[in-house]
Amino acid sequence: MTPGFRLKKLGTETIPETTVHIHKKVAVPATRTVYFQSDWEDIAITAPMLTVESAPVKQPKGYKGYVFQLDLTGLATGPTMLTVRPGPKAAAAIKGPKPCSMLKVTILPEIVLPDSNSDEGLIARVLLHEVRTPEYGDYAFEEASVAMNWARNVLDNRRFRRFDLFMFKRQPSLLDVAQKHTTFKDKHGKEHTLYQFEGLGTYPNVSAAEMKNVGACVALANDDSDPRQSRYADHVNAALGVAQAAKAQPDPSPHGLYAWLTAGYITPPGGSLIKYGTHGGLDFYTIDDAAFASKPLYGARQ
Amino acid sequence: MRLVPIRRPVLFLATLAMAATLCAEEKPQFQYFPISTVPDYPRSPEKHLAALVQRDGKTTINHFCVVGLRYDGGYTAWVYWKENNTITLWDPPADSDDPFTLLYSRRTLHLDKDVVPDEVDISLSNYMVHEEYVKGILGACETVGQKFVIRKQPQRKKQEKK
Repeated sequence: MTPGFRLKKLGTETIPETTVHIHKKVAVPATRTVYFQSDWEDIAITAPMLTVESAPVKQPKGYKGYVFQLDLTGLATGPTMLTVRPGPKAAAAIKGPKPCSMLKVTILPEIVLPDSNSDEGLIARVLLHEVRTPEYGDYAFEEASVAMNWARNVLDNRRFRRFDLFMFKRQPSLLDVAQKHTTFKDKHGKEHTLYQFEGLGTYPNVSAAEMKNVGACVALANDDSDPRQSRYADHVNAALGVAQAAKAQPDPSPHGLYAWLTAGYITPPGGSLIKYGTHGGLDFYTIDDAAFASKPLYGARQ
Repeated sequence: MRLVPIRRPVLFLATLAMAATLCAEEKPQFQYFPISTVPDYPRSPEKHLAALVQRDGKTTINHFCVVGLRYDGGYTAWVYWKENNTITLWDPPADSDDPFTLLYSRRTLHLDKDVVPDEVDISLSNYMVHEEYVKGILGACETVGQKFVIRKQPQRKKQEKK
């Protein structure tokens, strides 16, 4: 039997895969499990930068050969090679050159979000909460990247360009922008607290439930056993790139982007805000000529 | 100049910062549809709803209505949960069998606090909706919406290690 690695334990279904070289990310300190099958009764393992725990796995009925479960734990980041050779018993039965199987392993650092109290941490969480993730049918990485950059433009513009239009007398911090809310009584006398951004009114005191999709994104980005892992890693890394950049990408709209709304909502923000474009499941809005030309109320610069 | 309490920042923006008319933009056109007519969504979403109930359900019996919403440039769906008094945005999933997009939706609106009477009350909020909008969704439940009753299963007790 050709010795080979598997990503799944052999079960009743046959995996007709004989690949011996697999690129797989391993998040530190997470453990990644692969399976090795051969007709070798015992095996010997060499694996720099990894600790490997191996154990024989019960074989399904009628299956001839041996299956070993290998639990790999990365000790440092970087590329490495896992080599499996016949163990002493199996080697004694093999005449001539002894075969070996190799598996390429890349150990990547765990993807983590910046501290939630930092500006980078806030932006990253907002982007992951708002922009459509790879789970959606019409997801495209490029679309998501544009949406993330535009959302950063919105946050920066509210903070630095025309903060006067968003009820700030002086230049606000990013946290001020995120938490901004008003309270009013509606025509029925009911009091409402109106937050400008969903879930951010009390940031960073946000429950895991309120931002559950953010936690799920990061968990999937680190879960090497999930087939969606690499797409989520790209998505989360894109958000981190936008959040951690010293400056936002140039604003695409002449007057600047100032708002976004989940695409599909019936209600545009109204007033001076006019729709500029849709990306990543978000409708983005700029301001009209009159608002753009208006004199800043509190010395905000354009 | 001092800011007086402002209920509608956009109105404020419109009246103070320029001589512009309010909300000249036309309402986007959209249509409701049964999600079973779109292959992106599961034909039987009970499994997805059950996952939601197991995580967030407060009652044993839970009534849902799912209604698709087609808008200029795409479509999505709303899931109305009577007992929790919420509507949850359900964007079309890449894998109709995967409950992730519903479980981890980016928008769950609480109808007791995230709904304002009129469109203009929404002002700069990026998530709130107005009464007419919710009325439209609930009305569509009666015409094209698909209704489901999901029972919350008792949590299995973890077996204690001996």
